[in-house]
Amino acid sequence: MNVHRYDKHSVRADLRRAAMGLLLTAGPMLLLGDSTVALVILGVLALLFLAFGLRTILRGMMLVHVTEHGLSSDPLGGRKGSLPGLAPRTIAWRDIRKVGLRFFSLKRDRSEGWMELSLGDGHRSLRLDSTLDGFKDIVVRAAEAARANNVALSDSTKANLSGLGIHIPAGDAA
Amino acid sequence: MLRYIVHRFLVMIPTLLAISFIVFVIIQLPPGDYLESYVAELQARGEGVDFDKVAFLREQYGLDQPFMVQYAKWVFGLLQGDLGYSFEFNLPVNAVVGDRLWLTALVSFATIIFTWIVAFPIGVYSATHQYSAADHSLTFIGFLGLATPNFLLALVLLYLANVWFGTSIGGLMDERFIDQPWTMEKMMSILAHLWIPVIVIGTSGTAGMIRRLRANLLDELQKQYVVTGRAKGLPPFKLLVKYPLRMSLNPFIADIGSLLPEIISGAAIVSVVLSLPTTGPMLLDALRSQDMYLAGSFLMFMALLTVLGVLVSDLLLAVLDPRIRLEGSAVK
Repeated sequence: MNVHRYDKHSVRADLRRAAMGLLLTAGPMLLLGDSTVALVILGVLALLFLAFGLRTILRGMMLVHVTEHGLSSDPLGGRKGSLPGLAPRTIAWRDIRKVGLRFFSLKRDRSEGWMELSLGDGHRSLRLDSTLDGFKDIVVRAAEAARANNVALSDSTKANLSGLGIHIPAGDAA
Repeated sequence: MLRYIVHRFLVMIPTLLAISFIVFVIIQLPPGDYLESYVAELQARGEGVDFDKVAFLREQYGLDQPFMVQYAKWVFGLLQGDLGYSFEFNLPVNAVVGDRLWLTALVSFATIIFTWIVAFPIGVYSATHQYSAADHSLTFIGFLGLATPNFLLALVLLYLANVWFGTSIGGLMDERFIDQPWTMEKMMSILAHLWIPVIVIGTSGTAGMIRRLRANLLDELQKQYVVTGRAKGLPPFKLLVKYPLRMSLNPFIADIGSLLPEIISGAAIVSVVLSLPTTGPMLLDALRSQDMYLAGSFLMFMALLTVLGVLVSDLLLAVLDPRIRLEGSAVK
């Protein structure tokens, strides 16, 4: 069994982004008077940054276990306690029905960015970012599962797999 | 996707702050201020000037304060929906611009929708029927549209409407609705008048979009995967829609950001010709008379539209085409 975690530097950078966003949105909200429109816009943005911050904290704690049989994520990283939506999730390789690999870039020429792998078995779904250590190994395993289960891959997913050096033989996973 | 949205917003907020600073610097760049221009104008007309009153006004409007203080007050006011004070009209900018900002946004969005609705089917038809008689005709009309200045088209339409129908097609609503509260009748009047500026402003953009879509789709249609699909007997419509059309849609989406400011700035002369109550003519006047807060508000409005347009196009592109570019890409 392999255990994967999100890169600490990346988690810290995302936390800084969330804090900066909250400062830029919630800060002016405290100084504004009764300007309803501005309050609503800034409030929505502040909630977005807050949600991102909370998700980043969870990512910092998250452990991803990869075994021969499947993949499971533990958002609390083995810590005690349970909150709605934070229970560990497991997806067996043989049950995989959906595999998607998306690329996000802030640059117009898409020269730099990160990937997001989404896996689903029809009941549960998991999303993992490329800042997770050993991300490529998980993608390789997911691509093999997709091929074994005859899961249809989108054109974008195929191109992104190819970008990671993972080639899907013609005729497979069409 | 959440990470991407957060990144984009984090880029957008400082961008808007930077633009606001640049706008404020630009509107302060001409030597002197509105009051100095006003005094010079009075003196040129041989009228007496009450310098005590000028000093009082300068203090009241905050023109005697340091640049950064003026800027901070302006930005904080913008956040609260206070656009500042128009010296020329002697009224708050909010009262001066009235419905102009929203009418400008309405004309701009209607023009974009018109551009897409017309350009999309024509572009696809031209590409799939390359060198046919219809393609040549549409190409010819497209070039005419590209080559005709918007204001000239507006003048021609004004002339033809006058000669053929004996009516004026200027304005964005019937005169009785100007400066009146919003009612259903006023809305209907705006919709009835809207098509003329939309056609006038949108024609060149439509022609350009047709040319770009045709060129992009032709490139895609000649690629090997399309030839293979055709050889395997895929139905032509499915073969067209599934990949080539999707790929050629990218320029449509990527153009959203640049389309809005182009339309607004390009429509200024058309607005003068067609007497449209949009921001263009008032922005020109405000810049000429150094009415800094009025000009600054318009410029910030245009910047906001641009930044929002780029944000929308980036988010749509991230949803529609989340592919890596294989040459030299780095994944974090």
